[in-house]
Amino acid sequence: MMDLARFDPRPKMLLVLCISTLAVVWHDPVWLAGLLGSTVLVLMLGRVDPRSAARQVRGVLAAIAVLFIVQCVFVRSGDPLLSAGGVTLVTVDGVSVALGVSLRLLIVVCSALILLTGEARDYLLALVQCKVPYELAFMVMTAVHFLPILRGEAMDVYHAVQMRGTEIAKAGLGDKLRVYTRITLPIVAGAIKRAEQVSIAMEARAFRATPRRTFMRRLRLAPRDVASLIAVPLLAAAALAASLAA
Amino acid sequence: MEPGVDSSAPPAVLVDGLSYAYEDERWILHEVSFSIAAGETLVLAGLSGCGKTTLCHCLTGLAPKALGGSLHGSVRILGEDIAPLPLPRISSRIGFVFQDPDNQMVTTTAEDEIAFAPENLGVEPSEIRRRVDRELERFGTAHLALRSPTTLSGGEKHLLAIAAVLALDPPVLVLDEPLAHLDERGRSTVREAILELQRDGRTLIVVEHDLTLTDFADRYLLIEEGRVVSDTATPPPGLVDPAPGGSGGESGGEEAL
Amino acid sequence: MIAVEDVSFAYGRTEAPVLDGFSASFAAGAVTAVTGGNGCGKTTLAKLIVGIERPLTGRVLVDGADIRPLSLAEIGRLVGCVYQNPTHQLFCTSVREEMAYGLRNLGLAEPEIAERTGHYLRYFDLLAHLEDFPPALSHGEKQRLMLAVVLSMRPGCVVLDEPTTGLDVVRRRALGAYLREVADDGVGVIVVSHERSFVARYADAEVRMADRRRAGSEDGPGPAAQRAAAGARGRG
Repeated sequence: MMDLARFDPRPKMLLVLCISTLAVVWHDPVWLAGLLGSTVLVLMLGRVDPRSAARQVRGVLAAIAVLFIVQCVFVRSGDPLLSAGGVTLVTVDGVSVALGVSLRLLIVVCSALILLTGEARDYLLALVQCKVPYELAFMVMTAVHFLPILRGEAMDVYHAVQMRGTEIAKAGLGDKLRVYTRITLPIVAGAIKRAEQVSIAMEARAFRATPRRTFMRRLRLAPRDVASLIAVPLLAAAALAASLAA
Repeated sequence: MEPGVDSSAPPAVLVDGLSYAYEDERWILHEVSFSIAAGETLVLAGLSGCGKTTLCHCLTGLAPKALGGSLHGSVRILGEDIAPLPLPRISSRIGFVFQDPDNQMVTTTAEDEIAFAPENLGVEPSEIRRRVDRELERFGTAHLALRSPTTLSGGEKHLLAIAAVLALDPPVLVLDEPLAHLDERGRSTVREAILELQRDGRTLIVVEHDLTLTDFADRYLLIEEGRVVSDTATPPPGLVDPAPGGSGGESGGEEAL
Repeated sequence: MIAVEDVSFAYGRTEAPVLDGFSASFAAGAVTAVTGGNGCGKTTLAKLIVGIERPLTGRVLVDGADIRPLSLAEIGRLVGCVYQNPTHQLFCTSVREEMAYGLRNLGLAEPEIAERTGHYLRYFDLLAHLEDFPPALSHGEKQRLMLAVVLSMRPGCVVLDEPTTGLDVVRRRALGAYLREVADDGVGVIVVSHERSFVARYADAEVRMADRRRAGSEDGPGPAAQRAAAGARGRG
């Protein structure tokens, strides 16, 4: 019943918007942990596949660990928590900020997981039905559509440079950067060429021919969608009020 | 006369004295003239760079309307000069299937791809649905309706590209190298589709440089350096790649470096 | 001489294997075609030979040595590769630079680089484009440029993925002629292709990908075999 995949994209987008707002406004790790917990609860109730979710989280764990350590080291205000030989290594504030940043990153990943339960074509319709100009929504979709293609091409060039005798793995940072700049040349040239061809093909299919574009499908809000559109912002507002009162 | 070709009706395509130059003043086509009867299948043949694709761009109005450049002479589709018509109006008379379907696909499902053109033209939603279902049935691709175009095989992508263009019901279709890039299975799939289009009475213009694959053609127009060199019912020699193990048959082929 | 021994490969951990216990060999001084429909593993095999992918089990041997411990750059000296779309292999701002890039990595002196550049560009009819921007060349010209780049590095073997794509009949014959000359010079040429007429005319041997477990290697009716079997009926 609560299967996230069966919800209209609009309540999902609103949910992510509310979660993001709270994540930005709140700094206290306790409230952020609560927010993360609620988001995970939504994912579990929404029948998101735990294995693919775990895979996504695993991908950012390294980044989270690095950020955590960096924040601990660089935030020096507050009472010391860990010292060695008279030198303060970690302070209370440092841990607090570090926790906050890490929790926010995890919240971002979980929000993405919420959005990933929907189909691209439905998001396009949702944006249009929310009065976003079609061309804008379409451009975003097209960019998302071509990103993996560009990534594949970049890999091809990356291999090609190496096959001509450049050892990238053993190269210094300066050399690595030079190689990456080389790779951008054919990718950008290819992207421009492709953009030209795609835009001509779209013109041949009457793209932007008339301002009165129609849509074969139309999204309709089911009762569960309407209920969440009302409940979610109310809950978010209540949580915000509670945190301010505390 | 070939069956299915109506020679008493006005020509479906009439090209008169067509010359075309791109923005950088390079003349690609020189005084090209020919006509195609309704229901006929014409193959545009010639080596790379001879102007076949440019001619297609002129036939569909993409040159000069989308590509710029200057065009002299006239192109009439179904008796009407396309020069004063806007591109969307031309697409419902003559459709263009691009050589690389990947550069034509811009949506995330096959049925959205077919719906794209009618949606752009403001066609009524239930009518769009009807056309989408019709095109999905035509080549037996209904089971691909919700698949992402990027997951389709080469032959399936070509069928989808053709279906997307047919959504506007053009009586004339231009196919730019529909059989290139495909393996044997893909080629036979697309050939079947072309035969189906012929049975449907459409006028077809097919660009191909390997003429061993084009036995469905009624006529061959050989283009060399932007001029029509011959207009025959059999493939011009030199452009047919003999079958494997065949008796040489290297007709007309000097080995150019 | 390249040997693929008992190789297995799959793209994801849960995907079905594209190759399963596959073996084949490719002789030097000959043109060997790898054939089969799309999706049967031809391109995967090419990637394994060139080192872009590593097999899950089994070995790829170049001149008897396993390439597993080698880096892509080291393999690149032994085996050259021309992609189906050579646009993604060209990354310099001029044809001259493109030719010089790999040769500099090989440690050659500038006079030697200039000499090889002139030689191969002349052979492939590209001298007129010396200062041109590689992305601006036509598909056929880019392909010839990649061949020039790869051959100028004098590898023992060259792999081409679907090289006839986008070439008209005349240029295909020219390509076939180049490849035969390259093979006659002692280089091993491996051509991945679904183009039956091209394979029949120019290949000395064929590796069929229809069955992933073993190579259906057989001799094709290329010029070498035709000379040997003069008067006998060609394979149809």
